[in-house]
Amino acid sequence: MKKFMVLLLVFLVAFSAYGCTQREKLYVLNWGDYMDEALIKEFQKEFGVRVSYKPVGSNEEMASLLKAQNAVYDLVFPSDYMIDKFVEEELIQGIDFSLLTNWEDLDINDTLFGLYESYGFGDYVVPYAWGTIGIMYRTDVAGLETVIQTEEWAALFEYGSTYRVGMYDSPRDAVAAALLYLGYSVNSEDEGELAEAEVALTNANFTAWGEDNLKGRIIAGTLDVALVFSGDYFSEYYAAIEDEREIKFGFHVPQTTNVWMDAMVIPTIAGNVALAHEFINFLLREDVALRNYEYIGYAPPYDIIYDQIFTEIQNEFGGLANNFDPFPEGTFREMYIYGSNERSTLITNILQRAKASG
Amino acid sequence: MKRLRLFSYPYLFWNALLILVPTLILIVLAFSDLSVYDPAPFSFTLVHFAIFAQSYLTKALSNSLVLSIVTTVICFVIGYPVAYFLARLSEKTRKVWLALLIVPLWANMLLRIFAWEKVFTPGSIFTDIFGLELNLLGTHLGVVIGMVGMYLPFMIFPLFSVLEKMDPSLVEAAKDLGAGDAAVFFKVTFPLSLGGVVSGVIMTMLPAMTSFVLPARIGLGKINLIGNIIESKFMKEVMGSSSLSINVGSLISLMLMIFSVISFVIITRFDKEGETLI
Amino acid sequence: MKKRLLRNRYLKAIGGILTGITFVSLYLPIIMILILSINDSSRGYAWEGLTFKWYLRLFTDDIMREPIVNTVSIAILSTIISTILGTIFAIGIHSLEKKHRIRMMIMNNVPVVNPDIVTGISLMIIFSILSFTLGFGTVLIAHIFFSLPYVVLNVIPKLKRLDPNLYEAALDLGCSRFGGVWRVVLPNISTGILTGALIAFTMSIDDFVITYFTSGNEYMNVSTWLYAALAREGRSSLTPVAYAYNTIIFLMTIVIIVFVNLKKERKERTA
Repeated sequence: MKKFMVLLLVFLVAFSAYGCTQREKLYVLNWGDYMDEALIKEFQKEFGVRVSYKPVGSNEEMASLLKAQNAVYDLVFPSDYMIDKFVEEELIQGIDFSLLTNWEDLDINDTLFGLYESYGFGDYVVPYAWGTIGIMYRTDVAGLETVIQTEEWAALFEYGSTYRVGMYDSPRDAVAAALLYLGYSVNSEDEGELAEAEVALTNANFTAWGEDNLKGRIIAGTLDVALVFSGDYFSEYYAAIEDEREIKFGFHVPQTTNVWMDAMVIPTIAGNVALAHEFINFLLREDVALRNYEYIGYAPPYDIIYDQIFTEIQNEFGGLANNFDPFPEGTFREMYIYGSNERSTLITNILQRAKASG
Repeated sequence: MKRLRLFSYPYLFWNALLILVPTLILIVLAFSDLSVYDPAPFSFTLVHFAIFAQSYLTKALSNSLVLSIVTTVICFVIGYPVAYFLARLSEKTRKVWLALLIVPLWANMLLRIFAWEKVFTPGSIFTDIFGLELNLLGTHLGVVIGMVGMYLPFMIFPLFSVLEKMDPSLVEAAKDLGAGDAAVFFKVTFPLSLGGVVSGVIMTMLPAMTSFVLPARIGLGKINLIGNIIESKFMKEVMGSSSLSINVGSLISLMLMIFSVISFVIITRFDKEGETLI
Repeated sequence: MKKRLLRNRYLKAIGGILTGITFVSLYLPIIMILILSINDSSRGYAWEGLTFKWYLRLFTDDIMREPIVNTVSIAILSTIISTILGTIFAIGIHSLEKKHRIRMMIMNNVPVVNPDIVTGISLMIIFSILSFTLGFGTVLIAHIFFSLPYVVLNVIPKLKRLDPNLYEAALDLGCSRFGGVWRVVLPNISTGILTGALIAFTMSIDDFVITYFTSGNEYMNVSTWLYAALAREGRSSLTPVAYAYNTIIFLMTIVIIVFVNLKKERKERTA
């Protein structure tokens, strides 16, 4: 028994020595699969610090964690509408752009800048990626591709009995998809329109509600069609090439859809603001940024980086590049607006009711 | 040994701090507009009860009840005979069988749920290896099978422990007095094992009723239990909803606590110090 | 007589079938995990050939290092602390008068009966109110909180079997109050303590729900790590490594159980 206890203690000491080191630590709260983890390791080595990376599945989860204030986060990657809310609730602080030496070399894409300028949160954010929501589908299901190309949003809402359809388990995206299908604005506050959206979501007969796992289910063949983010498709495409798997999935961005931007923000509760800036600066370094955007599959907000990645995709995968631009000319895109708290509650309830109806 | 009673006083403080105080806070939250994350003056209100008018909550509640009851019944029907047969084995073989029942619990719960998900996916690796197609994702049956696989041991252990401790001479005596096998079982064995039955039922039903990962994964988000709603209220809806989601979540949790209290009352009737819980 | 034999055979067959169902339902997932851990596919969509590379990567990649270290250190620490405290509390509770004892036991059993999710959010709220920063410390408190009752529950029955005069005799013979506990009580309840510790360790190492609600920005155990990994199921999730980890833990448990039993048997034989 004594021997056993000694052994335990030795284990414990060894483990704690293994676990804790007295290095500076940066706490990152981000989406899953949204950064090349090899780069994090490089940053750790280069700066002699440690990065703790906590992945979550939605803006709402990030918001709940920040609002709780019971743990420190130094850097968070929320989307446009949520950033707006964070500024309003004073949950994030301004960025000190003078600390970002790599920032000066970068020009933000004009279209993107035009989209988020009106929110007025420019001093709080360093854009990270932008994209759309779209439809991912299996290409090995006969006739499905034509349905998607011709029906667009209706493919998600009217084919629930023919195909296995997956919907995003996030109030804003699910309701937006329904509103888009009905031909309304993604930010509609009209009760009648939202009620119609609820009916559409309830009657769609979805096979599954999921988050980042929807793309995996399409590839696994458990689902035929699903709502996903644009980068999901590209990132899965690269992964399939890497693993030498046959690519049996496609992606379609409807003519009218949502456009979003995720940005790096520093919470007011951040414990290490200087290191957070250091990390942002690191991610903005051209060589780092190139590798990161090659990995995550989303469109970089910076022209120099975007052009290089775009050319790369065009050279390597040809037609794949067509879907890469989040906002091509001649299409219609709308960014989310947080709107009122009442609307937030309403769409949360719509989602919950729709989920319970299946 | 009366002098040693002071050993128990710190435990009283510990439990008061970590059981009574949180429960009181939950009650206050459920009946007021107090915000946990920025405490300020608050007033009492019943507005959070509006959640019970939401169809998704009543659906989750009925899902929780129905699925957990069905799971418990299945676990009991399977578990009682198994525990009975195990208790009748010789000590050495019994040990081996018992170990075989415990060992799977060492595998990570989430991985076991994920493994069930693979089993229920037609054309998955499960089909590749076993040649079977079980298309049960997103169905109530799938969730129930998963729950039975998850919670069956918690039914068997308490049953086994009472059946094992039962004095075999009681059965002999009943037989000597001319009782048939069925009579012996229903008049002697079963009544004596009631304590174990109660513990087994509670230890199966409460976790099944409140699970949230299993229904979310195997039910594909379509079959939501109370646990899923609570998780959402605490982890996803905190920001900017017009109602205080944490308070609504507290109210739902209090409702779950009612089930625990009922269980407690029942347990205390059969076994005052809850020894059958292990 | 013939009828009875027939019925017995019938009953035995049913028993056999039910035992079969029990073991299939318990072992099917385990077998699936084993298969996935030796499958040459990072996603596990289909069988793509035998490999042991995930076992290798468990040690070479540090992807799961932190969660494993966290899980094991919390499990060991919380087991040690809750075993010591639980034993002390159990002795204290046992010494109380019946009425108080039953009240204490009801308190003790709250975390056992209460659903994990209720325990988790209760703790999360109390930590918030006390403005504790969520992390290693809060998870440790939470794990001690839910393991303690199991230690108490396992020690109390052993105390009941102990002759109370033994302790008094020790005191009469000049032992101090604590000396008596150390020399007389503890040796007699050691099996209960050990079982309690084992249960505490098992509960801690496999906990997901309570850790999920009480861990903050950095602390992730294997379960919460897996929850995040399975939810995103993307390029970086690398779940086969987790399958390998799980299979190793599983095999280790079997080896330990077999070893302990063999040792016990040998002891019994020589005794």
